[in-house]
Amino acid sequence: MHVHPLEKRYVLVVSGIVATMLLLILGSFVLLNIYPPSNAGETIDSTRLHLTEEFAEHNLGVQNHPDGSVVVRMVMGKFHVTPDEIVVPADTPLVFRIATPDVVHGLNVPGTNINTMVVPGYVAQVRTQIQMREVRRHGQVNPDGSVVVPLFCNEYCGYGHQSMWGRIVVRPVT
Amino acid sequence: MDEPTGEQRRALAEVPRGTWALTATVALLMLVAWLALYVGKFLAQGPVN
Repeated sequence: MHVHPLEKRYVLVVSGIVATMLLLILGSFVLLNIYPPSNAGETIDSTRLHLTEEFAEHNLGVQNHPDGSVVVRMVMGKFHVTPDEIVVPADTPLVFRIATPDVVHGLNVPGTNINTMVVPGYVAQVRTQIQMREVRRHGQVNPDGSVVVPLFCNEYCGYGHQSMWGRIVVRPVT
Repeated sequence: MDEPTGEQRRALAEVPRGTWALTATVALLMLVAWLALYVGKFLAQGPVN
């Protein structure tokens, strides 16, 4: 089969680009442990969410563990985020665990890589570190150095979807 | 159809350098744009898993 020299070059260029992208993505996965968070695995009874130990109202919000890790538990329901304001440290390993009692919602925080669907029947979990340098570009910087960034639902969930938002106050680590 | 002239035969046999340059430039720009988003935006916003 005759292949024109220009087509051969084109195949080489495209192969090089695809290989570069795949290598970078694979390198991020292997070396930096970065991959899309999964929300399909850990199940929960959405109809009894408020009766579970983990997502009962008194257990929601930010919890600092003795090992230095920080766990944030939230419930996203029509049409509210509970709690609607949380305070977390910057540049610290955070675990966000989110559940919903009703329909599909989405959690998105500008300036971070927090962007996950919250599906009824499952616990959505995102592990990340909020970078102060990045959230400064998207949020409001307070005089004390903390930054307020919005968090909102990015899956259309019904008539009151637009009112599903809250705040994350990111405090610099001293 | 008339037989191609000598000049037309030469043009058909040669690699069109302008097209190659244009293709390579567009491909390079796309790669640079992707790298800027992936490294400069996605990776800069912190690890996620």
